Parts: sequence; C-alpha cells; structure tokens
Amino acid sequence: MRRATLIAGCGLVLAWHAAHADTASVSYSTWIVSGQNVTLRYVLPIAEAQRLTGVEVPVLTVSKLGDYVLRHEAVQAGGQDCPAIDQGYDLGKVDPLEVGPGLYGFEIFFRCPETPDALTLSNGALFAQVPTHVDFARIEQGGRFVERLFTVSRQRLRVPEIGPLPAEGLGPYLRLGLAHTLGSPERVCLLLAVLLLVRRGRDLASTLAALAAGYGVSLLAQATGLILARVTAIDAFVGLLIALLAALLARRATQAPVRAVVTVGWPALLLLLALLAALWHARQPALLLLAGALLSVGLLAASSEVDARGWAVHELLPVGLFGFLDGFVLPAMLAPLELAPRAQVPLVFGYDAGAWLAAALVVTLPAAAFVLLQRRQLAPPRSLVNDLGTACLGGIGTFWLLSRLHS
Amino acid sequence: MPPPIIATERRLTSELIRTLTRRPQRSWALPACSVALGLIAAACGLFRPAVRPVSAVPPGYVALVNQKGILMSDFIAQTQTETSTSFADTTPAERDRVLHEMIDEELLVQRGLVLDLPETTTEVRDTMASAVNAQVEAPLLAIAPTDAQLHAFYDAHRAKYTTGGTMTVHDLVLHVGGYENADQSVAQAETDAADAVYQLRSGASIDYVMEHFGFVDSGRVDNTEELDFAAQLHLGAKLYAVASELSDGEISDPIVDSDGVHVLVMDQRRPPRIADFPTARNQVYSDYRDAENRRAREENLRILRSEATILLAPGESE
Repeated sequence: MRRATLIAGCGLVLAWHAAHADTASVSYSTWIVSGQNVTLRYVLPIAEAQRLTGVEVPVLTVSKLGDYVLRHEAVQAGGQDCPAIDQGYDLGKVDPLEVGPGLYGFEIFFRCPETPDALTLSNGALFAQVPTHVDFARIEQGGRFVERLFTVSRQRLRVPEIGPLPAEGLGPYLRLGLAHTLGSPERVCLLLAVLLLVRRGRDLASTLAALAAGYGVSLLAQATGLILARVTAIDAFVGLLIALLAALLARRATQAPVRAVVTVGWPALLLLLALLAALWHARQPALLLLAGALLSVGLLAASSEVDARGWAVHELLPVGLFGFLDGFVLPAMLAPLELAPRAQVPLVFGYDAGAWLAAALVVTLPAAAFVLLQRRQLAPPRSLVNDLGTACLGGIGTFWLLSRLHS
Repeated sequence: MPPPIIATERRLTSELIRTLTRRPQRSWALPACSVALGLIAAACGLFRPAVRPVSAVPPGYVALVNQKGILMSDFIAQTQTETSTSFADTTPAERDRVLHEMIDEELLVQRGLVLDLPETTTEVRDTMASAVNAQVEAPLLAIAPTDAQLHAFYDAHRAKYTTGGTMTVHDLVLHVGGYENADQSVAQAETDAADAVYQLRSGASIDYVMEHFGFVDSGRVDNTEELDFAAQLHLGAKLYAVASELSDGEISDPIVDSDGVHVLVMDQRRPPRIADFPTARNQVYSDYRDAENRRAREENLRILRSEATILLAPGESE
C-alpha cells in the first residue's frame, strides 16, 4: 500500500507537466489562385502567436507576427518568386484581419510576373519552432476548394496548370490521428487503464470494437452537424474516465469493506465537488462532476452484478464514450476553416482511424509483452500490476479532471 | 378450440402483460438509470448545439448575404430614394438593380469588417463616432422643448444673446526707443503718456498731443465705426478689454503693449445690448438643442468610460 502511494505520487508529478502541456500546434491557411494573383489568408491561434513572438501585447504580436508570416509564406511560378504586393495606405505587404476571438489573421497578395504555368505554394511558418505543427490549408482554384495539409515534411505544394489540385488522401490524416493518440499522455493512460481491466484475449477485441463503435457514432453525429463539442471539457472528462476506470479496477481488486468505500466514496466525492462547483456558480464544471458521479455510481453498482463473470459489457461503456468524445477533436481543430459537416467526414474518418490504430497498438503491445513475460515466468504478479496501476491512474485521472475543469 | 392465430395472439398478449407487470430487476435498473442520467448530464456539459445556417430568407428580409440579412424595409426605402417614386410604381428591373447594389454594399461592408477598417481607417472611425453620437441624440430630437424650457435656458445664458456693439476709437502709440529718442525707457514713455492723457482730458486736441509728445497712430484701427468683434480682432485682446469699457469722449490711461505705450481715445461707443426673448427665440432654440445633444453625448461617454478599462502609459494624462 505504501509502495502504491509512492508510485501514485510520482504519477501525480508526471501528470502535473502533462496537464499543462501545450495543445496541438495548428494553423490555417486559405490560398485563392486567380490568374496571376494568389491571395493568402493565414490564421493562427493566440497560443501559437505567443509561442512565436514571445510577447503577450496584442499590438506587438500583430506587428511581429505579420513580418514573420511574410518571411515564411511564398508563391513561386516557373521557378521565380511571385512577390507580395504593397496593399497601399500604411498597410505594407501584410494586412492584419479580424478573424474572430482567439485567433490572429493576416492577408497577403502575391502577384506572379505572368500567368503561371504551374504554381508552388510554400508555407514554412512554425515548423522550425514546432516540428509537429500542422497547417490545415484550403486551396481554391477555379471556384473549387481542396483541403490539404502543410507539415514539416511537406512545406511546398504544387498547383498544376491544368486540372484541379487532387484532394488530400487519408494517409496524412491517419498519421495525424496516430500522433494524436500516441502523443497524448491522458489518452495513453486511459488505454492502459482499460488494459488493466481486461482479463482475456477476447476482452481485448471487445474493447477495440467498443472504441471503434464510439468513433463511428461520433462520426455519424458530426455528419449531422447538429452538435459541437467543448474541447476543454472533453479533456477534463477524459481525466474523469481514467479515474472511473481506476475505481472499477479498485472495486474489483478489493475486499468487502474497502469495496463498499470505493463504490460509495468516489461518486460521493464527485457529488460533493459538483455541489461546491454549483455553489461557485460554475455551471459547466458542476454538470460534468454530476455526470461523473452518476456514471460512477451506476457503473460501480453494476460491476457488483458481474464480479463472478469478470469482464462485463458495462465496462465497455467508458471505452465507447472515450471513442465518441475523442472523435470530436479534429472537428474542433478544423472549426476556423468553417468546413461543411459532410466535407469534414472523410478527414475525420482518416484521423479517427489513425487514433484507433494507435489505441490498438497501445493496448495490444503491452498485453502481448505481458503474456510473453508470463510464459517465461518473468512477469510481475498481475495483482501487483493492477494495484500499482490503479493507484497511479486514479491519482492522475483525478488530477487531470480537477485541473482542467476550469480551463 | 380457438383458431391458431387467435391462440397466438392471446399468448403474446398475456406474455406482454406479464413482462410489463413483472417487478423490475432493481439491481440492474438503478445502475442503468444512474448511467443514463450521467450520460445526459455529460452531454449537456460537453456539447452545445451547432448554429444551423439559415437556408431560406426569413420573413421581413429581402436577402441573406453570408447569413447577414438585408431588411425588406431598407430595400423599399432605398428603392424609393433611388427612383424617386413609390415602391409600388417601380419596375422589376429597377428593383433588381437596387437589390444588386445593396448586396454589393453588404459584401463590401463585411469585407471592411474583416479588414478591421473601424480600427485602422480614420474616415471609418470618424463616421462611426458620428453615427454613435447621432444615435445617442436621436431620442432627444423627438422631444420638442417647451417655451418654459427655452425661457429658462435664455435666462441662464442671457449674456450670449446680445446685439453687436460698435466703437469709433483712436489708438495712439508712443514707441519706446525709437530713432528720435533711442535712450527712452518704458518708464519714461509711460510718464510722457500720462502727461499726454492729462492734456487730452484737459481738452487738448489729438493732433497737438501727437505732435508735442511724439505719439503716432498705431494703424491698428482706421478711426471709423467698427463692430466690436472687428475692433477686438484689430486692437488685440489687451487694448480691446480697455476700449470696451470706455464711453463716448473718454480717454484711457496709458497701456503698455509690445510695440510701445498706447493711449485710446473713444470718439463714439455703442455698447452691446441684450436681445429680448422673442427676438432671440430661434437662436435660443438652436442653442438649447445643441446643449441637450452635448449633454446626451457626454452622458453616453461617461457610461462608456465607466464600463471601459483604460490604461495610460507612464507620464501620460488626458
């Protein structure tokens, strides 16, 4: 127990960094090709701007950022640069745009010397600072928009002279989805918590099926365009799901008196926090904590029915719920591009498929390693792994939940 | 024996009744309810309804441009203004043209907002500030002031409603340190001027004094009747303040100015006279309106300032 507490403490220290880790680094660009002219609208979130300029005063940020964007965006035609044209008044070559709260926008007009045969669009902004940075680009040519990606490995796009620019394939989005899950400590933790709940090989398949179902339902919900997710709330809720899975593990592993404490104590704690949040007039955190309390009490109570049979359907619910919520991450990132819901579906499908594949890797590789170690009689006792995992994940999940509720 | 279909129907009915009246499996039902409620609460906290784009023009509007509506009433007014006829008498071609222009205008306004013109372009800022002031003043325009209010305003600002006074004045100056007496000091010139004033008040002529003491005409006034404002302009604030207090035939004390010591001789003075209320009523009405509008603008700015966070750079003040 003392060892478990120590490890849980270490987990909390690690989670402190992860809880305040930067969110995905993204920017948005729209390139409108019209004869000799190319209009670029470049939009990036405030967090990116501050990371880049190192200042928090908006006026200085806009000025510095405009120069930076001009230096890192370019259009070439026939091997020659198409210069950015002066926009008159005192604007210079970069015009700051009003693009909504939380975002900085800039517009640059490039004019090629003559009607170009083929264009090359170059976007090198932010890749030097953040190699994982992604720019979601929309390129309009002949009244048709195509969604493409600029990444550190692809900072140039060739726009052909004849015929439309081909749309982005699923591959880049698949890679983004993989990186999203593997680069997210809370998602890896949740999947490890699920892994600890699994007892048999076929349970693993059920888990992955539940996750896929969650992503699928999420995709359907997005196609309707009826709901939008609050991403910060989702991050907090993932923390809650981790803690809930840890509670399920703890309930399974403990004996009668402690088991009752877990079954009643964890939901009661959440309910108390919900009441406190309500007293502070924090409606949304109160709602999430209440939801957590109700889900916890329901799932913990239900687990008493299936203790004898082990893995149960109700334990798949948090996994499916996680898949459903995680499916809303890319649409939230794409929001500034204002894509139609149906236009997002193929992109989100690729991204979710990547996230699911990464989840499958996270779940199956440790499971396979554990089985291998067991066969060679090198594996630690399952009960010890479960106890330590439960302690760590419970602490980390609770910390993530509480630290992100008000962000 | 009932036919097989009726028997099956009876069996299904009794089965349904048994199912509905069976005591629920509480051990499953309560957790399931709890989970369902939890999911509903989570959905409320995690999601919000998306704003659906309007796909049809709502009543009262003539068009939607990027989800921004153009009002039918604006369209009718604009058409009537442009064609100088009633809307009913305009042709479809005229209406199409006006609507086309209004959509173009809306697109340009939206583009102006994207370019943040209100923050960056002086003309737009001036127009916006004027428009806000006009909006603040508009409610006051609908309230006609009563005669009692105008009279009270007139009484409070009576000094403003005067008929213009006139004066015919001579402005003599004794230049200090001129070529005739380069060593003369200001004090000596003042003594000479005091003697000259004494002589003038004793009945000496202006020509005699000018010749005897070395005074010259300053050239600021042309010794004919001038309206007060013109005299003020020509004499300057210092001399005018003295001149306006002189009456017919009166002679001022010596006044030291930048070009020497002056003596003013007032030939004729008609002081300004306060106009009575009926004469000044139109001006009072206009001034009353201006004062009310100014008050409304200041009140509006007071509220805006009370709600604003204004930071000044060190050393700056307003």
